[in-house]
Amino acid sequence: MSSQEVQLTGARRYLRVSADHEVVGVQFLVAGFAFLLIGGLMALVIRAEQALPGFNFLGGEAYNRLFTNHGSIMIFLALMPAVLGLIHAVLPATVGAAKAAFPRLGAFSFWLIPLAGMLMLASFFVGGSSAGWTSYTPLSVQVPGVGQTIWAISLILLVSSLALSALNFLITIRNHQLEDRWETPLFAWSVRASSVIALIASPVMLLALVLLLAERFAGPQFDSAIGATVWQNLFWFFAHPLTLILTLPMIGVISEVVPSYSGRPIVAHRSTAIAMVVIAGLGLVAWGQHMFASGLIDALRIPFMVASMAVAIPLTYIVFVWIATMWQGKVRFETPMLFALGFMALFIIGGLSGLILASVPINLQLHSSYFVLGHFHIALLGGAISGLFAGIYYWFPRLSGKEYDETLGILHALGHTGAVFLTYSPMFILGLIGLRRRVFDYPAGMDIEIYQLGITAGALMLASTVMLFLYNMFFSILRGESVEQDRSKAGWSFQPMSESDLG
Amino acid sequence: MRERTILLITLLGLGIVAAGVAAGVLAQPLSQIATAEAQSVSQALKVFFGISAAVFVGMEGLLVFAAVRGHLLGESKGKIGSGLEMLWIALPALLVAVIVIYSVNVLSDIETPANHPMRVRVTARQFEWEFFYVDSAVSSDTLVLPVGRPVELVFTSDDVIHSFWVPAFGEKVDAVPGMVTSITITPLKVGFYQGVCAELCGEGHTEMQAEVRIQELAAFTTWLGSQ
Repeated sequence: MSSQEVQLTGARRYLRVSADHEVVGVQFLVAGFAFLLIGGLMALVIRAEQALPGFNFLGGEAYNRLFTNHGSIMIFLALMPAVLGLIHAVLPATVGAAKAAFPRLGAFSFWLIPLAGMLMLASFFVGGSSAGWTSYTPLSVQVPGVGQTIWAISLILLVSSLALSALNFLITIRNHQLEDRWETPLFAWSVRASSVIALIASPVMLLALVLLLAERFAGPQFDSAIGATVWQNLFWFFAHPLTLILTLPMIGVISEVVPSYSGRPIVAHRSTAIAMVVIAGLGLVAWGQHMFASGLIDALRIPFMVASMAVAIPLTYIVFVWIATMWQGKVRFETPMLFALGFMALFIIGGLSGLILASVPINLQLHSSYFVLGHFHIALLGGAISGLFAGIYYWFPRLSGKEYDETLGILHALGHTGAVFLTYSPMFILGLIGLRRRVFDYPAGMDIEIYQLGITAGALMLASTVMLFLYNMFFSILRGESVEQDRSKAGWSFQPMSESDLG
Repeated sequence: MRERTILLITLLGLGIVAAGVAAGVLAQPLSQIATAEAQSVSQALKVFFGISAAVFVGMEGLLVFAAVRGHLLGESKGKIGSGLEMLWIALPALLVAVIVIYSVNVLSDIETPANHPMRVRVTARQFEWEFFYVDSAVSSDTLVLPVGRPVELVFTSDDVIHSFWVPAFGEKVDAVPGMVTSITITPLKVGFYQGVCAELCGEGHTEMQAEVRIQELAAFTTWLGSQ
């Protein structure tokens, strides 16, 4: 098996089952970007529906299906696989391993993605899931047809893929543990912290999905004293940490990129690693912040508020560490570094809006409004996705052996940061004005067309920067200059990659 | 370019942006204020946006300054002591402590129990609201309230989860099947307002709205009698 696989060249090795962690990583990334295009197209249709009051070509049911699938696809089939892909591809090399701990498990966790993706897309055409990506019960039980059932099955596969990947990452890091574990590269530390909470949170989500399926087939299962909010507790116990599971490894990427392009080691390696662990821990105990308006027991609101807000402390600490590293270094403005700076600039906005939303009295007003949409889009696209792009450009020469076009890369970094800001900051204003999320129309008297127009312009700009990125990657792989042997573009923790050993 | 010049340009640029945003939001964070609770929330939003604007300018300013300075001038001679590092933890911790205490205060402010509130039982169902005035046994699909008198709204749902939100009231609460939730509000300003469902409840979610009216006591009594 291995000798034949090594000989396969070009695109062909990516189209078959492979246990090579770099191939698996690239497969995850390509799948993630394919679904990003599909989810992005859905977002553009949503933008068209929102353009004018009274202009409705979809109506309630179709619109509900559209944003349900946009959300589910973007989070579970685009962002999650892309983040996992980058980790699969580069984690072994950053900890000095020749291969992942479980190469075949890596392949298995990837092939769950296309299967789940097919199911998700199929559900869109056979009745559709329409209860939102959060799929609160009892609505998600009530939705007729097989679409919602297929959605749940698809999610079971996707959450399993996440858990299996996390297990693989943890053991890979553990097998190459340094004598002083704090010396482990920060990227690996971020993956470790993220993987531990992924392994704790995923089984709870699987349980919730199985209960949902049971309820769809066999009647009420959530019919207890706290009734309809059982799903919300189980779902957010997973979904709140999920945002950190996806963002933390990208904080790890930025913690490699910033020192690399500042020409010096990070100023506080060990305490940055500790901060990452604290972020992960707090992520596990903050899920109740999504339920302040849902009849959550009154006494629990304050502890959940404190846990949600406290995560700002280690996050701010890490941003200060990055700033101090730049301060003490000679900063080079190249593509990965510009994405790192964009990450920081946007993440500050995402963090501040998160603090505002975590305040119970303000949450009671802004929950379920466009303010929430603005917050998590700017946090995920400005945070996780900016970090993802930083990491892809950073490791692209190592992974592909080719140089990317630096001018296009810089354009992409500036365009991405600007477009994310333009697209999602008007949503804060819409939320304050009182626009609720998940509605296909709004009254003409709200006078919000100008903000909707701004969001649409930003979305189109964002779409074109993604095209620019794909063009750059595609043509650099085909026709890019080969990387010089002695070139040391990669970071401080980066050790030379060995030939993939397939065992 | 000297350090001071870079710092000045950075802060000036960010200051203008933040001042513009803050001025827009601080002037009136909520477009309509109809209750005492909305007044408190509006005040809280002003405080939060004020703090956010300051933190935004501080952090983004530091970020841009460090990046541009590090790019143009290279390594700084300044050393980072453990005192400075403690500040990176102490500053956000202090900020979080302040906004937690402030939030708890605002929350107790808007949730102070009222004496003898008028009670209205609200039943949510796909895709409509029903308001039942307990004391006078009157049922209506419009929520009409007298100005100045505290009202306790008690929510249940007949089917899925809904959420009652009148943006001008400054808060919302879910109507959950099998559960009873409530809010107490004190209407302050006579006028027409829009109530909506803020939790996705199915095909008709967008159209699930209710007309809300705050009237003088005399007009309210007349309306109640005519039902």
